[in-house]
Amino acid sequence: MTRAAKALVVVLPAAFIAIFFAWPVANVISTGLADRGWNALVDLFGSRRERGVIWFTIWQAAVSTLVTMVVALPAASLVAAMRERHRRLVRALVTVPFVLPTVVVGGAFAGLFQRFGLDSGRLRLDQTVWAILLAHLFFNYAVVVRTVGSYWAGLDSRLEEQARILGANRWRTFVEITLPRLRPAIAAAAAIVFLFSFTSFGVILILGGPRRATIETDIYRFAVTRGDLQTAASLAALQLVAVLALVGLSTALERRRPITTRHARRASNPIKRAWLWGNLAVTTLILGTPIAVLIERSLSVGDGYSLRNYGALAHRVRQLPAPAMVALQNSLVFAVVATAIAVLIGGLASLVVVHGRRAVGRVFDLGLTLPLGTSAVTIGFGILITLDNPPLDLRTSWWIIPIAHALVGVPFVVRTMVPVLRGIDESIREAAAVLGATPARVRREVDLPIGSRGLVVGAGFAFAVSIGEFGATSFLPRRPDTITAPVAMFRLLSTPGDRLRGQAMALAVVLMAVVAVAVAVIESVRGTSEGGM
Amino acid sequence: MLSIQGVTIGFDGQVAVDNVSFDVGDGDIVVLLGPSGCGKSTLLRAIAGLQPLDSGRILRGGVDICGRAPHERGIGMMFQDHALFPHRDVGRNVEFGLRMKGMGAEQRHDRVLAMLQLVGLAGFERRTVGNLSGGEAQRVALARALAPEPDLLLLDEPLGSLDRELRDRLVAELPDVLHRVGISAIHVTHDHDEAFAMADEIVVMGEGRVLQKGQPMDVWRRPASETVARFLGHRNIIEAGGHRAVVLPDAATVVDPGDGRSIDYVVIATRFRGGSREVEVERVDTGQRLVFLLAGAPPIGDRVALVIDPDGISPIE
Repeated sequence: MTRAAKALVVVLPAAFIAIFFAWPVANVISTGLADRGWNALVDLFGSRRERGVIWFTIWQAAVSTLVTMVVALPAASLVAAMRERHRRLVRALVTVPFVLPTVVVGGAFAGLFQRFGLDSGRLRLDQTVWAILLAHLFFNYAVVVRTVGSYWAGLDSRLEEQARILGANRWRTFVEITLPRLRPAIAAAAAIVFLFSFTSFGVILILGGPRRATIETDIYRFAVTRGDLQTAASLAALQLVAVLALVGLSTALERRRPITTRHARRASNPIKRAWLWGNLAVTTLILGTPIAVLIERSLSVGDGYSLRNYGALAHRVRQLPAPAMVALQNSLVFAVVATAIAVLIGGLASLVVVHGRRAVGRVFDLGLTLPLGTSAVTIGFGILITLDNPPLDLRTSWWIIPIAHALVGVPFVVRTMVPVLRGIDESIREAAAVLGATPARVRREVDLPIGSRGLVVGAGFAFAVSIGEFGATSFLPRRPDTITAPVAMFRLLSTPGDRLRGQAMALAVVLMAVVAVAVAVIESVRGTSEGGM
Repeated sequence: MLSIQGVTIGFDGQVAVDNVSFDVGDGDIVVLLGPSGCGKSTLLRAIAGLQPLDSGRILRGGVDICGRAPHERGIGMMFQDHALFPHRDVGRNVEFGLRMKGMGAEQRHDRVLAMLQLVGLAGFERRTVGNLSGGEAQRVALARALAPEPDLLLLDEPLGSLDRELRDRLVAELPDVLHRVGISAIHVTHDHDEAFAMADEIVVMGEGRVLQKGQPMDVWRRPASETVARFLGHRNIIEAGGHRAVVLPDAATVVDPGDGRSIDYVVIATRFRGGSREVEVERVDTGQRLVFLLAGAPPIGDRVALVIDPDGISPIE
C-alpha cells in the first residue's frame, strides 16, 4: 500500500467521526454549559419537574434491566444448551425484536393493549410505566440471549460435570460453578440493556404518553416542541456524562471472553428437555405475542379483516407530507446509502483497530463505539445546531439523514468486524507469507475473504438500524423526499383515529418484514456462534 | 466392585457403545484402550452418570446405580485438560468435593493439605489455577478427585495433553498413588505404552465393542484379532498356511549361519529406539519382511541367520 492510501485508511474514518459525531456532540455540551458552566447541570436538579424526569429515567432503566435479566437468563441457558443449528435459529428469532424499529415496538404494544382492552379501565397498561417495562423487555431480550447465551455455550461444560461428580447437585453447580464464570457476560449484557433503556426514545414517546418523560424525550420536547435549546442542551450534556460512564464500563467488561471453548457433547435427559421446552414456550410467548397482535391489528378494519390498511399506504393523508409508501421508499434508499457509508467507514476503522498502532487502535475502538451509546436524540440535536453554517450547511440537505444513520451503524460494523479480524489465526497469515505473499497480498488473500463475512453481518445490522432509526431522524428535515417510514408511522400513530392507526400498523408490519430479511441475512452469513453482537 | 453389563449407548441413531461388559476388581486399575471415537470416553461418562444408557446395567456391590445422579454416585473423575475451576485457587479446587459432602472447615483444611502432599504439591493451596504448569494442573486435578475419598476413580485420557517426559513420569507415579490410596480406577487412553505400563487389566475397544480383555501380558502376546494386534503396535502380521499369525518382536535370536533351524534374512533397516535397536529384516527366499528387537547391531545389508521361537508366534482370526 502506498503512504497516501495508508493515511486515507486512518484519516477517512477519523474525519467522519470528528465532523459528524464529535463536533456536534461537543457543540451540544458547550451550548448546554455556555451560560452558567457546570451549574447548568446542577440547576437541572433544582427544578422539581426535571428532578422527577431524571429519577424516572434512572429507575425505569434499572427496573427494565433487572426484569430483562431475570426473564431472559433462562432463555440464554436454553441457547447455550442447544445444538448449533437450533441455536442459530433461536438466535435469529430473538434478534428480530432487537432490530425492530422502536416505533414498531411501541406500535406493537399499543396494538396489543388495544386488542385486549388494556388501553383503558382498571387494567389499563397503555400510557403506564408497565407498558414501558414490557416493551424494554421485549426488545432487550435478544441482548441477553445473544451475549450471555453465546458466552455460556463457549464455557467448558466439563467443569459442571466435574462439580456434579464431586457431589454438587444441579442448583449448587449452577450457583458455584456456572454463575461465577458467567459474571462478565451478565455484567456486560446488563450494562448494555441499562444503556438502551436509559436512552430509549420511541418506546417512551409512544407508550409513556405525555406524562411519562425521560431525559431523552425531554431533550426532544424542549428542543423541538418548546424551542428551548438551552435547556435541551443542558439535558443532553447531563445524559452524555452518564452514557460515557456506562459505555466505559461495558467495554471494559466486554473485553473478557471465556478461555476454553472445547466442550464435551451435552447429554440430554427428560428434566433438561422439559426445561428447554418450557423455556422455548415462554420465549415464544414474550416475543411472539406483540408481533402476532401487530399483524392482526394491521389486517383488522373495524368489522372484519382485509388488506385495506395496506392499500391505504399508497394514498397521502393530511398528517404526512407524502404517502406512507413514499416514506417507505425513502427509508429503503436511505438505508442502502447509510449502509454503504457505514461499511466503508467501519471497515477501514476495523483495520486500524486490529492492525494499526496500539494507541491509535485503542482510540478508534472507543471513539467508534461511542455513537452506539450516545443517545440518538443527542446526535440529531447536535447535527441540527452544528452543521447549519457554510461550508457545511447540511441541516436541510438530503444527505444528512443517511450520514446520521451511518453514524449509528458504524459501531455495529466495527463491533462485528474486529472480533472476526482478531480471530484470524496469525499462523495462517504467516503461512501465506512464507508461501510468498506480500503483506498487501496476505491482506487480500487471507483477511479480506475471512473478514468479508463479518462485513456482511455488520452491514445487515447497519441496514436494520437505519431502517428503524427514529431518534436522530426526528430532528432532521421532513420533506416529501426525506420523511422516513418510522417518522411517518409515529405521526400516524400519534393522531387519534382508528383508520390512521390501522395504517400505522400496516406500515409497522412492512418495516418488520424488511428488518426480518436483514436478520435472516445476518444469521445465515454469520454461521458459527461468535459471541457479542 | 464394579460390573458393567451389556451397556449400549447411541447418539442420533448411531451406536457409540455396543453391548459392552467387563468387571473392575477391588483396587484394580482397568485400562480401556482404543482409538479415538471408539466409545471409550462415552462409556466412562455413562459410568459417572453424565450420559444415560440405552440398555444394560452398571452394578456396584451388586446394586444397579444407573438411576443415580452424578453427585450421588461417589465416583471420582479426572478429565483431559484437567477441567480445574478457573475462579477458585488450588486449595479451593481441591476442597470443592469436601464442601459438597458437608465436611467441617477444619477437617477440610487438613484434608486439602494432605492431598496436596500426596501429589507432591505441598504449599500450593493459594496458587491461582491459571499459573500452573500442565503437570501441576494434572496433579491438582488428581488431588481434587481423590479428596472426597471415592472408591472408584475414572480417568479420561488425563495424560493426553502432557509432553512426553512428564507423561512418562506420571505413568509411573499414577498407579503408585492409586495403589497407595487403595482405590479402583478405570483409565481411558489410546496409547498402548501407557496402557501396558498402568493396567492390571486391559479392555481393548473398537467401534463401540469390546475386542479383547485380559491381563496386559496375555493381551500383548495373544492378540485376538488383526485389528487388536495392529492397534497394540504389532507389525509382524504374517500369513502361513492359510492362517494369519502375529510374530512377537522379541521372538527372534541371532545364531550361527550353520544352525539347522535358522532362516536367512537380510537387514534392510535399523532404528535406534533409546536403549534397544529395532531391526527390519527381509527373508532371503520369500522376501517376507519382519521387525525384531535384536541384540547387537547388524549393519544394513548384512545377512543374519535367525531362529524364531514358536512360542512367539500367535495365531489370530
